[in-house]
Amino acid sequence: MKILKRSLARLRNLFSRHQDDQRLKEEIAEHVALQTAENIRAGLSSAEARRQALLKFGVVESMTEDYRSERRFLFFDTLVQDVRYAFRMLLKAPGFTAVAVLTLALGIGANTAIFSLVDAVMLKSLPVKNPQQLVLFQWDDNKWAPQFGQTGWDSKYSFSYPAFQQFRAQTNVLSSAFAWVPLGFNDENMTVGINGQPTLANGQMVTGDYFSGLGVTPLLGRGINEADENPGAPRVAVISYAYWSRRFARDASIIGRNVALNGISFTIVGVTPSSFYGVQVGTEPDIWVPFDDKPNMRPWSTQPGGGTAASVYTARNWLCVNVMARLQNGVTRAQAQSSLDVLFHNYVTADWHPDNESRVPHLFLAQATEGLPQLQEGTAQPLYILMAAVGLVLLIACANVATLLLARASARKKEISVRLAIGASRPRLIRQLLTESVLMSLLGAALGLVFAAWGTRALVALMSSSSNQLILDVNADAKVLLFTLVAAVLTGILFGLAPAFRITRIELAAAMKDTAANVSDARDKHRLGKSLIVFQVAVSLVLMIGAGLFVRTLVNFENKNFGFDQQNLLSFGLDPTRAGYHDARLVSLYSQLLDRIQSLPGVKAATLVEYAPFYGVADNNDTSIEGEGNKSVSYNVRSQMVGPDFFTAMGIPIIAGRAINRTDTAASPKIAVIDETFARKFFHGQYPIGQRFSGGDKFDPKNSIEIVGVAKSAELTDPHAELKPKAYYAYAQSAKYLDTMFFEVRAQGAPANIISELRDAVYQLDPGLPLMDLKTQTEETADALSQERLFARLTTVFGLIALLLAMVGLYGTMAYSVTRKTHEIGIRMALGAKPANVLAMVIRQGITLALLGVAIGIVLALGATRLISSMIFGVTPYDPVTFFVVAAVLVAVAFLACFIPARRAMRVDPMIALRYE
Amino acid sequence: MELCNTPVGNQKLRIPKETMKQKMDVLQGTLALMILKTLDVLGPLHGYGIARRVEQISGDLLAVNQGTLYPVLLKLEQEGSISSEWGASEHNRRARFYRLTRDGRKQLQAETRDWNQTSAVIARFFAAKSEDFS
Repeated sequence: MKILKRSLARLRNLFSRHQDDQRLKEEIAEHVALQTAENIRAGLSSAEARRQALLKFGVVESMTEDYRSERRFLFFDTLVQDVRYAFRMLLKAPGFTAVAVLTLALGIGANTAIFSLVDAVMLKSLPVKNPQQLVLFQWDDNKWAPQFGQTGWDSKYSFSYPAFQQFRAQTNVLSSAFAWVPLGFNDENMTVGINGQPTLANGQMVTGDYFSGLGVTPLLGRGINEADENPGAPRVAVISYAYWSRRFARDASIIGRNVALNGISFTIVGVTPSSFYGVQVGTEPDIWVPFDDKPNMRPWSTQPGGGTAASVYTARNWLCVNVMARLQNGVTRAQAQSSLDVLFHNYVTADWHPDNESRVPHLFLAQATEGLPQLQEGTAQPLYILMAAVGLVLLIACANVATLLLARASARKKEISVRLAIGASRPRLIRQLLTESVLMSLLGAALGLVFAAWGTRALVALMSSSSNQLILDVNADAKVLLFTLVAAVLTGILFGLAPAFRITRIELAAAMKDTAANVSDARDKHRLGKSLIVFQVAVSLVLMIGAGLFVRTLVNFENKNFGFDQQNLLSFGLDPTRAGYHDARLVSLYSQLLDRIQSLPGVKAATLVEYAPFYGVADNNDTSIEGEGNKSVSYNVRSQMVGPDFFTAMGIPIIAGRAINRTDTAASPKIAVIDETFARKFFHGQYPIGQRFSGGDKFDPKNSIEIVGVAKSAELTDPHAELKPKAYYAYAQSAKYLDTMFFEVRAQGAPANIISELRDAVYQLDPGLPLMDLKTQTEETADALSQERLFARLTTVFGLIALLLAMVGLYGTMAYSVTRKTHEIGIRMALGAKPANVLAMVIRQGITLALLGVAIGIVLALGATRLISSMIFGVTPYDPVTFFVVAAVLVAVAFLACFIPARRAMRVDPMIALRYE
Repeated sequence: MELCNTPVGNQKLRIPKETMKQKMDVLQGTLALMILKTLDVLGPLHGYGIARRVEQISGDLLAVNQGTLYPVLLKLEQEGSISSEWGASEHNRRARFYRLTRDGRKQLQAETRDWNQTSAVIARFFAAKSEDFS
């Protein structure tokens, strides 16, 4: 108890240092004065009286020390002292401090940049009220019910609207529930008519409880509410702050303004606050509209037919919306989950009676503090790899600065030995040196924060593609600042500890002499300095090998033959359904436009396709043929609607039968062209032309389609994927399913030359049709490989930084060693060593360190590259060529780093060296 | 309590090191108690006054290194056993006066009890004859 009181008193006294010291001085003075007066009264002279009084009082300094240690925690007193001293020492060697701080800024800044990214993607909560109360609905999509059809990204988060309505009704466990669905697969899924001009925006449909359930207070106006969902209610929309700034210049009169969304007039009733970005990290809708089912505005811009039902409201098994809810007060997530799972179970089994209960999927409620985790799930592993890589860079920076500190040790030897001699304890000195290190580190961290602010934004820009922009809040929050602070302190201790121990372990007598011919120096093996160099070389090797593997992966992807010709190919998308085109009228529009484009002078060939190559979306359907003994053989097949001249325009050879052409219309029999993979899988070498197949898991002869051709296999969806069986349909025969189509145009020369002509061609046909995703195929492929490109670039930068640091460290160590050994070299030369021998000696020393580092680095790399084996392509994690080339480069650069100081050593004049003290 | 005046004259302060160390150890343990008792009997005193009284009563225990009093005074003050404030000394100068608090008085009573108990037990031991140990 007493100890507690004293400790609290000590803490309080931290701030009253000056007054406390004053008080003690006064008390001492008064005590001595009174004793002096007493002595005078006893008969001593005033001088003698005072002297006796002082003697009797005792030694003031040691008593003051005791007093102070009782008054406060001495640690803090000395800390302030240490910090002041550290500042002075750092300012005294500005060059050294600058280099060290810059190196640390680079290392810590890179870590802060990556951590900011990790924070923005994975750790930041949704900017809504009480995000920890939100739950996200999901189900285990491994157990697929046969009646399900899904449209969207991640099927495990997709539910049907009728199912959502049932969930919403469970008010005993949920205080609110809401659903949302994008109006397309990219950022340009809605056509907005502003001042008569068609523009593109990112739109979402939401149910009435979305804004109120999330607890978002609009900046202007109101959010969407339940009344807006009623059929016949006036059509209202809410826009985001970013969209309001971008398109409407933050016009204050935005509320009540009418805009045409996909040709339908809507009134803008609200603007969301700038911090709100929706419920999915990385995306931000521009416009929210109430849930509805209109021909011009449907979930995912789909059209009814084949899997997607006539109305989203009645489609019991069309999984297309995402669902979130807020738990009722007092209800736990587990309770709500078990209650809703029963509901879900009954919903699924109403249309399906499996023989085994365990095949029925279950419903789960996940905590939704960070929103829909699509981005998090996709980038978790890459982000962790980046953090590890950048952590290695920091380690190298630490070793580098430690080497610098050791080199500076000789300059401070006298100062340290004097302090040791007059009684400083070694732990005290080490603490003071560590204070210097941590101070340097903190300065580096402050500069690093500036680097990181720029770096994180650059990273986000690199990770975005033009059709799917990555929108993240990368402003440094408390977590990032705390991370930087902790990293700085740990870094400072890490690189400062070993040198501090080393520096204070000095033999006093020898150190205080001024001569350079110090016995201690010659005997000193400088093991610490050497092992730091070896460490830096080893870690650099690991980083460089990683970079090498990622670069080769990117090159392998870029050179891979995907089965179609990517040269001079331009594509753009259109969604005329937003402007009211459907069925036959839509087919007619596409057909006219295709003819026009094919007749343009700069166009070599043109065709239509449902999704541009590597757009990232595909249709997958169960497909069946008639197998042995009337049993169906069924596989999941990728299908695409294509236009005439597709195969010639795309450069995909037809190896049997014919391609799809203009004679395949709505009137003619339904046909398809399959690819090699389909033929092999379904027909095992039998001639497939003339055979028939149908959709679904049972062959249906009445709705079957005839195979008229076989094309060579081509990968058109995802460069990383394996080839899947494919079927190509004539778009003109699938009018019911038509919505967005992409035009693929092969230009005579550079694709950029024909862009304006293409725009004109579309405009002349209908001015209300904006072009989406206008890109060359090269750009589209690059976007699909954005992660590979990012990694190749980043790891190369890290590898180069690491190499630079390690080599500068090696150079510095060798140069310093030569300077130190000038005397020794002079003796050797005087005794007959030739300059070439001296050169060889110095180089041998340096290369030994480098080779040792390379050997250790190879061992580390063999272990480390296993972690990235899932991210590389076309090379194994142990690829000997990469290892060899990287090691050779490193040794070559190391040779250069040693050569320069070696040449200097060679030129030592023995006479001068021997005289030099 | 009797106060004796120790004459202060031209005395050379020559104290052997070993004895001084012994006295220091005893001092640290008991000085606090002596301060408390002094303040209890004499009321508020400044540092010098306490030093003089302790010196007079305990003989030459605090004849030298009177400054060591101050850290002990501080410790007692931070524990809450005594409190201090500025006041006027005999020469009408500013001096810091210390007084016993209620907690200090309680502490004093408790420690006095402990000391008496301990010394009674030790006395019994010293008075014991060889037969009592069988």
